[in-house]
Amino acid sequence: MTYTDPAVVSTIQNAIRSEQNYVYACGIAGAELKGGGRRRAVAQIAEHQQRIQVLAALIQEDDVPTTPPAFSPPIAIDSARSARASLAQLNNALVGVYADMAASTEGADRAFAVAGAQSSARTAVQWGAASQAFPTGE
Amino acid sequence: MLPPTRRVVLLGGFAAGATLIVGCSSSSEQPDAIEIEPTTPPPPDPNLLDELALIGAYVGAIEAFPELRGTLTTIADQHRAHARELGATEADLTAITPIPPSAANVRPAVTELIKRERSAADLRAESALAAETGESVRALTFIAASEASHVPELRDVRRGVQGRS
Repeated sequence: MTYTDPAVVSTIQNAIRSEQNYVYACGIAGAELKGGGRRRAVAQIAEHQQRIQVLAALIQEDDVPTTPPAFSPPIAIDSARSARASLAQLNNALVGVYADMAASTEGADRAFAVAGAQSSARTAVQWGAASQAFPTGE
Repeated sequence: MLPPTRRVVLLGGFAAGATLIVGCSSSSEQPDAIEIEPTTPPPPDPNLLDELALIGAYVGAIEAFPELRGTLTTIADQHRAHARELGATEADLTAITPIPPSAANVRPAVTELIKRERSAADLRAESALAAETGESVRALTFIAASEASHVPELRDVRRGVQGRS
């Protein structure tokens, strides 16, 4: 399905932008992390790029946001510790982004959004965040 | 990003539960009686019942294994927040009966909680797919995500008690 309703398109664009930012942050974090953490960050780049492709297919090509050249995460990444904290925070923020998308879509697209929210909340904990009743990244 | 509004999930169902019948006198055209037609109460929300049972399971696990109180209390409090969102009253939360773990040892008891959380996350996700209002979908998605995140958190707890059971 290709969504054209501006309100729905906006939630999908927001998801794409948030995923693009997450991919960028994974790249920065990968440089600070070592061992399993680095491997996980690198693996997540591919995983989240895949999500971007799925999201982009839901809206018209002209509506797909271009990848920004850079991104400054709310938690600056300058060490392994801050890398983990930043990726955890960004994942919790993705939960809200996907909850908004779930609320404005239907069927398989809503299922994709709900699964994205669940995966992001799990990943936030795996990066070291404590679980939250309503994960928001704040 | 704000969390969902409290009780958005159940309000729609309860609002549709009562029917007003208004009778008018012939002289004044004012209502001379207001009757509320008896209606069957709405069936309990399975998500709310499941949240209350989850809280009972956590309370039971904490009673059986007080050494796990820290993390388990935090997660149980999150389930209380979920239950309130789904329409639970403070009386509902106070009336919860502890559900003792079926396992006598701590590690399998945590595994039981992990299974409950997985099942809860699945139920909440399915309910989000079937929900009719955007607010309900949003609330259930947040709860489904939170419960999914409890699984790795409990796995960490289980790793921490490895060898102590």
